[in-house]
This record gives sequence, C-alpha cells and structure tokens, in this order.
Amino acid sequence: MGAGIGGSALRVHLLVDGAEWAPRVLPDSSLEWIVPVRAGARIEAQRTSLNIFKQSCPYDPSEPCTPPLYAYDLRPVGLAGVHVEGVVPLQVLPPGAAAGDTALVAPGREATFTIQAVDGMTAPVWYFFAWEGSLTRLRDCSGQMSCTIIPPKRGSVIVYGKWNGYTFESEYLHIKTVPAQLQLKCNGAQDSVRITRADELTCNVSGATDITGWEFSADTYGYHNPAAGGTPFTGIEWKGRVVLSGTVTVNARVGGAVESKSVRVSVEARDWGGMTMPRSISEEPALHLPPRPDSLHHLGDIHHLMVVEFQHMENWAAIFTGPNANLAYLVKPPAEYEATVHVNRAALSRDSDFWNAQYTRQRSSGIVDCLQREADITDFIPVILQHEGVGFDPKSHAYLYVTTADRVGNPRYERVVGSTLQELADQATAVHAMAHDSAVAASARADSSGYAPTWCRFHFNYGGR
Amino acid sequence: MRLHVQSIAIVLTITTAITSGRSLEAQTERQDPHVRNDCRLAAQVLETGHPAPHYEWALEFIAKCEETGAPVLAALWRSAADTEHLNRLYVSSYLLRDARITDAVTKVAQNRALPRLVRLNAIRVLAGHAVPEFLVTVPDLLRRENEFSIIPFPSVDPVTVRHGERPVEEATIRGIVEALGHLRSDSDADVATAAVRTRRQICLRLRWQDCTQRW
Repeated sequence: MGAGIGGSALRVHLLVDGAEWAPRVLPDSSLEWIVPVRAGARIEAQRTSLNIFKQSCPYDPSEPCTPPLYAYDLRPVGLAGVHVEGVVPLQVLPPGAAAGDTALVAPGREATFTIQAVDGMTAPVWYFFAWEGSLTRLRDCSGQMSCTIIPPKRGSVIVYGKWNGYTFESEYLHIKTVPAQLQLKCNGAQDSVRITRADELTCNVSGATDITGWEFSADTYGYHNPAAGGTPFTGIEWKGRVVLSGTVTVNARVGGAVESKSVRVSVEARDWGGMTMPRSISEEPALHLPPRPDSLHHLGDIHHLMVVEFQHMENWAAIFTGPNANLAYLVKPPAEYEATVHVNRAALSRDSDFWNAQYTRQRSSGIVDCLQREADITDFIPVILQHEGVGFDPKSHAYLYVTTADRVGNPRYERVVGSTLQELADQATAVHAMAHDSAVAASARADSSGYAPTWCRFHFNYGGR
Repeated sequence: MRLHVQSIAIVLTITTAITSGRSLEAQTERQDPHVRNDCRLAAQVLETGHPAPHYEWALEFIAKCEETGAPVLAALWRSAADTEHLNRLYVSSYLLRDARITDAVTKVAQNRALPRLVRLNAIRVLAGHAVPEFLVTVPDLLRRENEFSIIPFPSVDPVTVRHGERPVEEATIRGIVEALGHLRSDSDADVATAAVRTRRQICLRLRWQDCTQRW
C-alpha cells in the first residue's frame, strides 16, 4: 500500500470560469460548471475535500467513449465536469497489455490485468463491476500493480488510486468473454478465399485473448510477412491489398495456450485481355533503303520498338499495410509501342532507276507486270505505309506486332510483383523479351499470302550502270 | 563496261521465308556470273575511287557480294572518315554479315583517334552483325535507358542481311561483346554510352545472362 505507480507524470492546473483555481468554498450545489484541466500545469488547488475522478463509460462496450474527469466536493456541492487533455491518469490494461477499453477473455479462465498510471499514483483499489449491478472489491489485489482473476461473464474492472490526496477512478475496462476456439475469417471466408489481384483482403480474428502475431507466407517469390527479424502485426484485424497467393495465419493466445489459424488466399488475375498498349507509328526518311531495290523488302520496312518506363508512377503501385505490405505491382500493362516506318520514296518516284526498270506495257506471259506508271509505282507508297502499320490496318506489321505483344505480354505483366522498383523492372524485362519474340514472329505474317497488298509484279533488273 | 544485275521479281506472297536472321539469297555472287562481274567492278571502283560517279552505286552494290564484298568493305573501314559515304558504308556493312567486316569495324570502334561519328557507325555495324534485326541509328545507340526502363534497340522487319564467306558465328559475337565491354571507359562519353548500351542490348536479345548489366 502506498507505493507509487509508474507512468507518465501528470500535473494539472484547474481553471474555474477561465481563472485559476484558488482554495475557496465551492458554490452551492445548484450551481454546476465545467472545470478545465490542463496537462503540464501544476495543481494549485489544495482543497482537501475535493476529489477528482473519471466518470465511467457506458456499460455497453460497443459504444465509443471518452470518459470525462469530474471534480467532486465531499460536502457535497455537486459535479463539476473536467476535461482532460493528453494524459490518462489511471488506466487498467487488459491481458497482454494491449490497448483498448475491452478485454477479451475466455470463459472460466484466469486473466491478468495491469495498471498504467501517472507518477505519484498510490494505493490502487480494484473492483469488479458486474453488468447486473453489483460492485465487488477485489481484496486480494489491493495495492497491487496487477490483478489476476477469473472474471465473471460480463462486467468491468475498475481501479481507484490516490494522487496528491485526490482520488482518481480508472476508465472502466469492459470484459467480453469469447469462445475459447480461435476463429479466423478473411473476407468472410474461413478456409480459403479467392480474390482478384490488388483487391483488398480483410482478415478478422475472434476467440483470442491475445494476438501474438499475423503472418503471410506467399506460394511464390519467397515473400513472407513479417520478414525475418521483423515485428508481426498484432491487431485484431489485418487488411490491405493482396497481389500474391499464399496463406494468412494468425497466432493467438486462447486462454493460456497459443493457437494458430490459417486461411488460404488464392489471388486471381485481373482481366487485362482487352487492354492494348499506347502506340505511335510514324514515317521517317529511309536512309538505309537502296536507291535500286532488289526486292520488295527494299521498298519499305518497319522498325518495331516496344519500351517500358517504370518511372511513370501511373504504371505501378505499392502496398504499405496488410498481408502484402511492402510489395509493388503493376496497375496496367507498362509497354508502349513506338514504331518507325520507312518507305523507299526515292525508288518509288517518277523516272527513278526503279521506275525505269519496269515494263512499259503488259507482256503476254500471263503475269501482271507493274508498269512505268504512277498507278503502279508512286501509288504504291500509301499501300506500303498501310502495309507497314500507318493507320494500324489489321493486316499490317504493326498491328500484328502490337496485338501479339499484348496477348503474350499482358497476362504476364499482370503477374509482375516485386519489393523494389528494380525487381519490377527485372521481371518486366523477361516478359518484354518473350512478348517481343512472339510479336516479331507475328509481324512477319504480314508478308504472307492473304496479307501482302500487291496487284502486279515488280522487276528489279537495272541493266547495268 | 555494262553491268548486269539479275532481275528478280519477288512477290510478297512468296517471300514469307525472309524473316529474322535469314538472308536474301536470291542473287548470289557465287552462282550468278552477272552478279560476279558487277561485284568485281564494284570492288574495283571502291578500291580505286574510279570512276567516281559509280562510287555510290558500288558502295551499295558491294553488299550483294558475299565473296568479294567483305575484304573491300573491311578495307574501306580501315580508312573510314566522316564523309557523305559513311551512312552507306554502314548500311552495306550491316547488310553483308561477314566476320572480316566485323573484325575491321571492331578496330575502328576501338580507335580513339578516329572521329566520333565513324566510331559510332562502327558500333552500329557491330550491333547488326551480332543481331541482324538491329538496324539502328546513332540516336538509337545513344538513347538513355536506366534501371527503371526497358528501351531496346528497334527491330527491323523484314531483315534482309546476306551472309558472307566468313559468317558471324557465336565466337565472333562474343568478341563483339568483349570489345564493347572494353569501351565502357572510353574517353568519348558518347562512344562509351553507345558501347555499353549496344553490349547490353545484344546480350538481352541473345539471352546471354552473363553480360546484361547496365554499367
């Protein structure tokens, strides 16, 4: 008895009607006024007959409550409301010293409660207040810093302490008995849950008296939360976006024993099937195509370029909380297409060597020759442009490249997950290479039967210099 | 002298075989005497510089000469300068994939006494000899890529390279990669940048995991 109770220091300064409190006779009981208390100031009220205590919260623990502090004169003169800022002078903590105003206890099991109080708080007296109305002093716990009891089914634990001659009452710690069986649900499911990648997963636990830690172990990528040496999350609800399949596990104390429950999380791919990469297809001068082409391939070509930029914040997102904390993922396919088309305009011009290499009139060979005329030569320029991809014709090289790269790349980009931007880039590089390979092969189809836009046969005989 | 280039009419519908890595073998110096004659003339023009009006034609035509073309182009690289013919020299050297040319342009790329543009064009040739779809420009060589971006070299479609008598095999490409690696500390920042980028692009494209770093 009489030992001080550890905690943060509380010094209060009472103000009455905005003025400092001075020892004086409290007003008539018909008068009631608020007495603000400022933390950090020194109490100057030395009136021995004044008690200060916290008003209890309602019995229903589901209602949020910020208990006010009251000054009370023993004579009695009535209640004067006091608002406390910053410091809780006296508090009962549930088993495990977790925060909150509700203690989850298993029925019939012992539970140990502890005290947190300001410096100088002495002589704690413990009570159990049953919801039915009875108030029982817990005599074995008097003067103790902690109290171990087998709580009745419903009620609250309260502690009174003395500080500077004033009596303080703790906030009511409500007792909630819960089934001794640990239960875990993620998005409402107990055993397994399916979720679309990057959607939010919410896992709740019940039946636990003390959560010792949550874990997430991914099927792939070697991801585990918490990481080795990390501190596990111990709240009653664990939630956040998930991008990796795996298992959520909660470890909790049920009564005296530690139990675990797990829920399997299967992440399903987002539907990126209809998404297509942004593209730009432009013509540039054909400095590499020969003035005297020796095949149709020298009349035009396309240079495919598919780039990925992770510096663009709109391509990816990071997860900061929950089972997949500290992972990043792609929010859309990151690739962009920048093609350049080249047309051999020098060859496809009037009176060029190529022009002059064509026949002037049709032969009787049965072959339709391209002739020295604009309809067959200069008019072939827009045909080549379209064939390469300007206008994104479905039979063009560009179209076949882009649609194939989308088809091959998007489902793989969708799965890219990493703990750093560098890891996203490295994985995307592999996807990029695969998509490009397939796209190049598809692009070549533009030169095959049914795709290539020719109506006559060109000739490439220049007859010497 | 009358030159004759055999007329070949390749209709797109039958040219599907010309895809990445395959050469256009329709006209060959080895098989066609007309091509052979033109190759000899082109070689003579390029070696002597006469007749001057045929120089541009010769520089273009020599790329079709799988037998005589490589020594001629290699010799041109040994005396290469920043002239109006440099791009055409690049194009023909790119189109004729022969290790003798590879060796010559490797030395050019490494020669710090040569103009920057000549060295950069040599690196362009090395890129194309290693990966035929890399028909790149100088800006392609110098485009900035960092660890958070994937900016490959463009891929030309179709690929129309021709293989010379001394084909560019894996050992040659390994030599290209090694040579480019030595250039990463070149005093010319553009050459160093181009070399590093080209080396990485080659390795990525060929899936050579041991040389894909960005330095």
